[in-house]
Amino acid sequence: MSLKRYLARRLVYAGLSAYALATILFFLFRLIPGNPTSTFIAQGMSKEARQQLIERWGLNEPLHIQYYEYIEGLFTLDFGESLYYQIPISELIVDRLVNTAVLMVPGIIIGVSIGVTLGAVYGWNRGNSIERGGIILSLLGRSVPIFFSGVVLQYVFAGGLWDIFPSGGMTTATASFASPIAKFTSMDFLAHLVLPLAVTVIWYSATPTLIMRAGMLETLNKEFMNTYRSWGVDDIHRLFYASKHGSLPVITYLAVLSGYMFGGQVVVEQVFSWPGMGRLLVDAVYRQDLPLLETTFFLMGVLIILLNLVVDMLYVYIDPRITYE
Amino acid sequence: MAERSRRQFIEATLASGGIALVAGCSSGGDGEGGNQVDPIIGLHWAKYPVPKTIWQNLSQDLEELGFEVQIESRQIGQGFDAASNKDEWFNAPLITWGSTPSRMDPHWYVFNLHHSSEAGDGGFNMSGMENDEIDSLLDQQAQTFDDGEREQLLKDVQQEIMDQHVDYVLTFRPLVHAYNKNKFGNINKFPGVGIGKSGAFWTHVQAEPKTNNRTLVVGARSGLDNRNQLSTVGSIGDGYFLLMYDTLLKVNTDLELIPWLASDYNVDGNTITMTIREGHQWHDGEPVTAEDVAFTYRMAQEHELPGFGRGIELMENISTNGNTVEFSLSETWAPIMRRTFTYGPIVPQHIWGDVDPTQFDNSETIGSGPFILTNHDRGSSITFDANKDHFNSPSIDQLVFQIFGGISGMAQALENKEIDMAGRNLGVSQASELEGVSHLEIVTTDSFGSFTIHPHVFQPPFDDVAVREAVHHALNRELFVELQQGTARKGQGTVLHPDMFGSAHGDLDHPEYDLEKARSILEEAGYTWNDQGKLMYPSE
Repeated sequence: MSLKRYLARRLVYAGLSAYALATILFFLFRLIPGNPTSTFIAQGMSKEARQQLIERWGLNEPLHIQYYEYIEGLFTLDFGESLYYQIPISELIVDRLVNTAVLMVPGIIIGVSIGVTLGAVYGWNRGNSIERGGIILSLLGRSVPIFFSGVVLQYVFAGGLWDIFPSGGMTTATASFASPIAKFTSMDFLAHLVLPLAVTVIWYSATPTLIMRAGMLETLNKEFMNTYRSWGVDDIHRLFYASKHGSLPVITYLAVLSGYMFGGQVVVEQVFSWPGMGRLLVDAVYRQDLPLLETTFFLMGVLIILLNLVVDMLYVYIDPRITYE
Repeated sequence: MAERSRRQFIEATLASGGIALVAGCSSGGDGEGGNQVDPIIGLHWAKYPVPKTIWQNLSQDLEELGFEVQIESRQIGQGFDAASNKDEWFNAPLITWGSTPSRMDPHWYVFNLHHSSEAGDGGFNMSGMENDEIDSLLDQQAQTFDDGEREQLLKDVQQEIMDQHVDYVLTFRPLVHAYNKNKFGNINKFPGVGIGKSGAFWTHVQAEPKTNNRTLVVGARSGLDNRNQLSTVGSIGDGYFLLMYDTLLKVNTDLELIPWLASDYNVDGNTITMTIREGHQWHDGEPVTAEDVAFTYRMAQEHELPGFGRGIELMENISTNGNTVEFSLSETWAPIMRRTFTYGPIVPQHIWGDVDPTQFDNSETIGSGPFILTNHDRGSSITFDANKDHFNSPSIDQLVFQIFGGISGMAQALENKEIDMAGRNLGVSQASELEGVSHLEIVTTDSFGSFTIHPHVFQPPFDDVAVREAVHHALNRELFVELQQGTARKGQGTVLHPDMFGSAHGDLDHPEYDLEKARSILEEAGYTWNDQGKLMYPSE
């Protein structure tokens, strides 16, 4: 099968998956008890006003009409208005997406790079104290809840013991910047980034370490590694070849991980008051802000679907034994 | 009353069936003579820890009186929905009432919580009481502009309501905030709201810097995502809006009505005349005129803008004459003064005149208020410059709200001196951790909202006023105050906070905690106790 045909077929599948996802989201969020006006009744809204609101949001329409309008909106990239904020969703999420990305993209890249490297080293050093010590550290990194490591780092570096970094936020509230680029390259921003980034890196490096180590062990037992050795290939090169083979599962994991990136690390954002997607999503669930929930989860899902596609393409490059058949 | 869903029906049936089995009775009882009294089923919101603790303590006393007690908890939205729909799978909702700048008139609490027009589905009369006498007094107080007369009517109606035993006001909610006392002084509470919240108008306007740093940085919950408060449903962002836009009148920190953009006002029958302050300017330098005021209210009326709330629809005619605006009302509605005129923001005609106000994004946000919006970093911070040309210009130069996802993050920043003030309620426990910090002053304010149980008068056992009265005597309010580290103010028979206009708090002869008295009231009404000490309905 040619690359083109394979790609076409996968794109069709991806489209179907996205459609199924959109449908599931639509019905899932409508299963939450109560309705989106509940948020407002607690604020003292009269019953007449609530009824008006339900009509304005089209929640009185039959479900199939709501569903049709929702799918139509997704196709035309018109995601509608947030019920709570009452402004277009695109307006609401763009800034927060950027904020999430500036934390999560470096966090995941650094985390996974460290993970892959450590995993390879541990696998290579099978059975000795480097491996044993490393595994314990990685398991620790994986098991300590983020809010805990976050609070510990805050205590140590932001006030409790040393006052080196700010305890939260993305920039100093009183700072002003000429442009977004000036903001994201300022020392102020970088100082705010250090602690949340550190927590993110610790968390996201642990799993790739373990996966990579397992992949390495499997590869190192393969016949061809012995062949390399008999050819006289040195350790560094053999480590590299083995790593390349051992990294396939990590790449799959990376695709899934990148989906989370979109949603932000809710806990990190909460602990460090990072103005990203995570908090917006949590509030949206409480407030039953249906369009906001549907849109963000849909975009998150689509990202995962697309990245999986990219990963499948990457496999072929990394492992020539894999073909499009 | 709301039709019960199948699940709720099963829940309720199982619950009452279970009780019947325990007591060895033949039926769950519908208030029939000789049967065990139906269980008290409490409801509270999962979000707040205090109501849960209150219920746990209260149920011990109720069980001592022979009641069966169950406690249900729900998410706030879902729970509020069920309570206002008068769902019947519970009969004693504990409501966590809120306090907002739009509730400065007693009408909101006293009318909405007790008038029969609010007793149906979706209304705020949570006990479902319908009483002609109370309705009539509630209507009269709303139709009386004279403060003295209105105050008396309000006190009368509070006594009548208390005699019905439909509000078990446990405590008012304590709001705990804190600020850096080395950097700022003259920090005044906004009644019912506290300091620091965007709606705590007087805090921000009156704060005085003690150092050269004239920027007040406040930790906040939410941003200013929507810049068009006028067409926004709900109270989202209203506090920020009232910093940027003037209203005709204000209530001061003593809750007195004072002139604001209107330098003078006069009520004559159903005609209210406002004299608009001269020489005041919009943030863009244009003069604020009586025409702007009339335009704002006409626009709100024409487009039924939800940001103004009730009162707009009563304005039959809005006319201007020089620097005065005259509002002719179709009927007298006293809360219009403290509610509508202190809450409806006046907007400039030269900006809003050519747009559809329901769709307008108001990105420039030009107002005439004491603060001018200069920067908004979505989800992160909002920056205002002080309007030094304002007739009540702030002492600080800049006001910044920094948004925090959690309370603990904000508390940490406050301790680290990264921010100057907590604008979110720290809660009693978080605040106690900050108590020893030398640069901080902790400020506790009573919310005008209370923790109140509203027994369902349409359901047994609370359909009998004797049961309601007996339970009223089983409320150990001293203990409920203690459960909140002693910071909460004790309820005394009325939902109106003592600082609020017309409150009868302290004047009412309200039932004190006395289980013996409760027992004797039940006895007199014919209730008996079975061998296990369970309360039984009076026999026919």
